[in-house]
Amino acid sequence: MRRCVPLRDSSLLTMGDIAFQLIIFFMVTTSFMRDGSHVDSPTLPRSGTTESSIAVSLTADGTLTLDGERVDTPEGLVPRIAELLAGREGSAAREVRLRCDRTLPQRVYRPVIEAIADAGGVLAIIHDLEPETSP
Amino acid sequence: MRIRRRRTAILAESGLVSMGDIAFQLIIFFMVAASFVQSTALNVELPNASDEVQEERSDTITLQASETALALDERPVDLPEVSALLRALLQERPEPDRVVVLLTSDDVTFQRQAVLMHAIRAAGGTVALMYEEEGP
Repeated sequence: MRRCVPLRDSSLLTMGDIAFQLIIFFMVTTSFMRDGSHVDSPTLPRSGTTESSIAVSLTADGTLTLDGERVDTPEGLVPRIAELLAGREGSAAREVRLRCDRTLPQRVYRPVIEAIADAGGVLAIIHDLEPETSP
Repeated sequence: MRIRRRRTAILAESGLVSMGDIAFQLIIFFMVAASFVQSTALNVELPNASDEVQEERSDTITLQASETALALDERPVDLPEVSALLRALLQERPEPDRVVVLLTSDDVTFQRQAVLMHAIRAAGGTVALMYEEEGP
């Protein structure tokens, strides 16, 4: 009986640990969903980085989203991005993440690029890194 | 009395252990959160439709691309040599004149467009996008 008492206490403490891990898990998965996780981004050599909080996503089936919310047409992006960019000065502050499927043809992604440019945004094309080749 | 002492010792130990666990998890959490803030991206500043129409220059460099062919100022080129050729053309130009017009046809995929924009940026050029309109 004496041995059982500390075991109960420690299981209560680990339950707190598990709950904390679940919170982290859901925070991480939610952020993936917001950014559009099912996009096969283009592959490029290392170019730069972005810290923009504005994310436009265009999937292979043509679904367009702004910060996780569906947008019906690329023209609908212009006023919403312009509103988000209001008061921001400088190129870095006006960056808009574009996560676009790499197989899409120009006629599909072109209106989205034009909408970001028309709203005054700087295009930040999210891409995967090319595997490094040895010299 | 003996029993009380034992219980106190056990509780103190388990508190220290769980504090270590929580500290470790916090480190992992902040590492994960920090990796989400930055993403690798190709940043391209494009002129928008409301900008004043720039005067067309005779010496503007044009990179024309379809999904299978590539031409630099109407001369066929291969993709691996584009960046080096552009660098040679741009090196003696001042910053405002380093505009390279990327003229793409309707079939160009986003992967190819991104690769070409990266090549222009890597050569020190400023990207201006143009698109070939489909005929009626």
